[in-house]
Amino acid sequence: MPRHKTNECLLLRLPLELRLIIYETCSAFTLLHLSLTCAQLRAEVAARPEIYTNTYGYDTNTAGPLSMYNIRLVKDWTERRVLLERYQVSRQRGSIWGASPLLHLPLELRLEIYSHCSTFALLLLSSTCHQARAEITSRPALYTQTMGYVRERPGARDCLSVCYVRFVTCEEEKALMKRLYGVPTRLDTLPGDLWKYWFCCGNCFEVRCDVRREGEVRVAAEEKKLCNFCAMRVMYGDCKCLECQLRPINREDIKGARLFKS
Amino acid sequence: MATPSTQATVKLQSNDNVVIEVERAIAERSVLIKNMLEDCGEVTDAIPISNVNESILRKVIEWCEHHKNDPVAAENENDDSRKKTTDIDEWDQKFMNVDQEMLFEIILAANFLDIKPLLDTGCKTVANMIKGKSPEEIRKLFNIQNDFTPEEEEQIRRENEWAEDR
Repeated sequence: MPRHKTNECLLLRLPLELRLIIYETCSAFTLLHLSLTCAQLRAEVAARPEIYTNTYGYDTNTAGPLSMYNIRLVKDWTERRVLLERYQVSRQRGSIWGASPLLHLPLELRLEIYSHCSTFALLLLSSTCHQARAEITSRPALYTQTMGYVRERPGARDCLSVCYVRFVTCEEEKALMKRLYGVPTRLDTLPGDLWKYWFCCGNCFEVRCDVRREGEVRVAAEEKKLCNFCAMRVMYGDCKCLECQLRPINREDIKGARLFKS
Repeated sequence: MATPSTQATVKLQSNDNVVIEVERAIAERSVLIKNMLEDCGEVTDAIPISNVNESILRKVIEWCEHHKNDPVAAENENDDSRKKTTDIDEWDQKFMNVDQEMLFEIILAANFLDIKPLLDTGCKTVANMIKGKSPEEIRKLFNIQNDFTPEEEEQIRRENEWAEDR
C-alpha cells in the first residue's frame, strides 16, 4: 500500500532543507521554471537570492527577482530546446543565450570530432577555454594521432604546442599560422642581431623555423620558400618524403621560389 | 529468436509523435533499428525514436535514402585513413549545409540511431568548420566563453612560443 496519496506532490513532501539542496543543483533556467509551478515553490525560490544567484547560467550582471532577464546560459540540449520552443527565441538568439552547442555534446562525440581535426586546429581549439583544453591536452593518444603531429622528434615527449605541429593541412591554416605565429622574435641568447621566424613550405605545408639577421627577415618572410625535402626534390629529382608524395609538386607553382637550406 | 521478417516498410515515431513510414532497407541503415527488427521480427506498431524530433528524423531518413546502397562498413573497422581525411562527398556537403543547431542535432541523432557514416560526416563537417580559425574565431563560431584568466592566456602564449629549433 502506498504511503502517500497518489495526487500528492512528493517534492513538496520533502523537508525544506532537502528541497533547498535540490534547488542548489538546478540551473538558473530550470529553477526559474520550477518556481513557476506553484506559489509555494515560487516563494521558496524568490526568498533565497543566495541560491538562485549562484546557479549555473545566472547572469550576475543583472539584479532583481529570478526571471528570464537573469538567464545568461542554458545548461544542456533539453533546456535549449525548451528555450527555443517555449520562448520562441530565434535560433540565432538561442545561440547567444545558450551555452556552446559543441561543449554540450556528449564527450564521446566531441572526442570523435577532435579526432578528425588537424594538430594545428586542435591546438587552437584547446586555446579557447578550460574545458576544451583539459579534454584535449589530457589525451596524448588523441592529439599524437592527428594529422600534422611531430612524432619522431628525438627526445620529444607527448605534448601539444606549436613546436609539435609538423605541417598544416590547407591554405587557410597556412595563412592562419602566418597571422598568429609569423612575427619574427629576436634571439637574445645568441650573439649577433639574429631573429627567428617560422614559415610553411610553399609546396608541402611543412612548418619550419628559420634564423636570419635583422635586415634579411623582412625580405625573407615575404618570399615563397620550400622546406628541405621539397627543395631537394626540385634540385635532385623526386623526394621520397611522405609529404612530397602526398602533394605532387608543380614546378610552375614554385617557379622563382627560394630554396631554403638549414 | 524471432523469425526473419519480410515486411517492406517500417514506421518510425519521432519524439513529437509524428509517424513516418519508410522502406525497411532505408531504416536499417540505422544499426539500432536493424538490430531491433532482427530481434523482434514483424513490427506493426511505430518504433518510437525518443531522442529525435520530426524535422531531424526526416533529415536523417533523407540521408539514409541517398546512401541506402552504400556498402556497410565492417563492425570493427578502425581505419586510420578514415580519421586522416576531412573530405566529404559533395552531396553530403550540401546535406550538412544547415544551421549549427540542426547540425549538432543530426550528430546526436546519428549517434543515438547508430549510423556510423552519418556520424562521421557530421563530425568531419564540424572539424572543417574549426579548420583555419583562430581561438577567438572558434569561440565566436561555437559560442564558447573564454574562461581563461589573463595569466593563463599568457601561459598558453608562452607554451606556444618557438622555443626549440626545428
